Amino acid sequence: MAGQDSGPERRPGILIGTRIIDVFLYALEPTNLLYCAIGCILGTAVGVLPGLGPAATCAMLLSLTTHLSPEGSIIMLAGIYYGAQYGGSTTSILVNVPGEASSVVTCLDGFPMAQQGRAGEALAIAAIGSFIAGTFGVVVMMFSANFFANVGLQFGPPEYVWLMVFGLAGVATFSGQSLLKSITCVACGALLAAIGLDPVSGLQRLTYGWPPLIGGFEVVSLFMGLFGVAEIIDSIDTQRPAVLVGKLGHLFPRGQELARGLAACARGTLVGFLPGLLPGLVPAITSFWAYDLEKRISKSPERFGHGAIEGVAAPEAANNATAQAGFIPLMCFGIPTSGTLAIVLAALILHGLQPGPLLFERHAHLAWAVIGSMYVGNVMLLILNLPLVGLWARLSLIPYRILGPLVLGVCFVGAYSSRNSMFDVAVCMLSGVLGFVMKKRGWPAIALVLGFLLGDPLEQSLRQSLAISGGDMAVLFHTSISKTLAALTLALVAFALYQKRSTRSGEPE
Amino acid sequence: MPIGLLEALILIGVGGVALLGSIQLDRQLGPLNLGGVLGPARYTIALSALILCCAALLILQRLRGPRPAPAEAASPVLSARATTLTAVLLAYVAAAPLVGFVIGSLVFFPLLYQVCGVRPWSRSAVYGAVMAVAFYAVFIWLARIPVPRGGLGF
Repeated sequence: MAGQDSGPERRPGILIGTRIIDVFLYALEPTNLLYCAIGCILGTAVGVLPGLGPAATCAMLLSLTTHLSPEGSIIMLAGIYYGAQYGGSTTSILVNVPGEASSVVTCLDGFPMAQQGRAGEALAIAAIGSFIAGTFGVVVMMFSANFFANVGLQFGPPEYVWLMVFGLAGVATFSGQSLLKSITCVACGALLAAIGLDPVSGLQRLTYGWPPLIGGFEVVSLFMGLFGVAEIIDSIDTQRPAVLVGKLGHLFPRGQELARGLAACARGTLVGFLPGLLPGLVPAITSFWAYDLEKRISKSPERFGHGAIEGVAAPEAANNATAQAGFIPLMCFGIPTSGTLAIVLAALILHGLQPGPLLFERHAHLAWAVIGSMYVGNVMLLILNLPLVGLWARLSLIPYRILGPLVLGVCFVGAYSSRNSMFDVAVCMLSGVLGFVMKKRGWPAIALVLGFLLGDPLEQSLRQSLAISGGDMAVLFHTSISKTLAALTLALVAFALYQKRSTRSGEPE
Repeated sequence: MPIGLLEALILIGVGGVALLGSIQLDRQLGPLNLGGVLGPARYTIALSALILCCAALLILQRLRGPRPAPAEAASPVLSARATTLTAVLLAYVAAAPLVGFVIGSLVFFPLLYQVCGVRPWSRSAVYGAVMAVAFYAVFIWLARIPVPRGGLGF
């Protein structure tokens, strides 16, 4: 199917009516459907297995995909990418082990839902939310890719600084009952992220001459330990028999629960989509923002952290929207927003295709085939995963004495596979102990993880901004986007302090 | 010592060590200016200072707040069972590079099952062996995920 298309209608981002049929005809070709299915299944499996991320999987498969057609190669890699976004939620919900960094937030309410016998509802709404967000992203790509890609280009290092600060402020003011503990955890997480080699100067920072620390800490090991291993230690400590003691409830949300979940999916999609256009903004951040928004606008925020369906729906929709949105700058400008998309970019180049505005002109069939397959892939993910909800939900009935060693073994393998390092495994197990202690003492582990994720991009953006301005801090307030984000951050902090004061929650000790 | 104060002291230790290391790095960078406008040490100095401030506020809060119940102050953080589980996990981590993942799993999975409550020992051994074989089949043979290899090469 290689070749050039020509004609006045082939402008990037603008779809003329009859081309919609062509898009789906390309995507529904049997070979493309097969590649899409393989990608989705592999991606879901990758997402379920902690440690083996979509980037590593795509890198391993890249050489194999050179034997496929360009469409087949990109379709398969794309399927792995957004399949992994969905798969990561399965273990988050069932055993409190996030499969991906973007699924960390799903643990907060997903696991409590499983403990209440509502694992089926959680898994179902995660699948539905992923579908809604993915479909929205594809539709936007079909009709206005260029417009949104240009929006993403308005963000430079100063704007990134405020995005990160906004994110950190949200984490600190949202998580846990104690503001002081949340701030401390965020700072500790950011400090942990700073350990290792400084990316600008190449100097060792806070390693104290110990070689394993030169590479820094791996985020996968950290969150698997803080959530997964900690949960197993806690269950052994409290002699809890299983994730769920009792009967499984409904496998699918109904009535008001479904309505709340769907509304949260819609909001999460919007929250996750725009930031997905920005390089370097990890889906974990957008999923947190979506969760934070739901909690703040809810009439009963006390439900969050104890099995609120919105706490699963919104983050899952957000992380899928972010993943989908990342294809817009990739296809329109050749700018990958994540490591996985960088591999997709490499695949395009290997096939002799240059992403950018000319991709839609010279290889319209490829570009639209990929877009069509994304929609088909989203439907495929829903079809693959919804029927399995009942099967997955039954895992919550397995006693901890059987499930515990299995989860610990998976965490071991997952932690090791990131960098082939036993140091990461040791970090995973030790952070499990830390996570257990934090849970008992009311310290929010989510704040530590998000501080870790946001700390590095914040520092890099700040240093880039100051390098651009020659040290003048005023660069952070030059553009209207920067000022808006700064104002939003201040408003968030002020609102949070007002809420704390008016509820008089105090600091539990 | 009340546990709340212990946490604050741990934070002071962490913040203090990080601050000293950052200041040392900053002094080394001074004449070289390798870090650009904002060097690599200034950020960690700021974070360390923030942690130390939070620790100080925690201590103040503890001293000014209501006293904890005696049971809370006296109870151990980790029970004997959880401590044993942690010890087995860390032993597994220490042994795996020496004996390899496969042999390590054959030894430690039964131990983990025993600690997690499977009785009797023979059942733990069977479960552990099955789990070790399953891990080999799924992760090593099928998915080709790298695992630690010991002296025997597997």
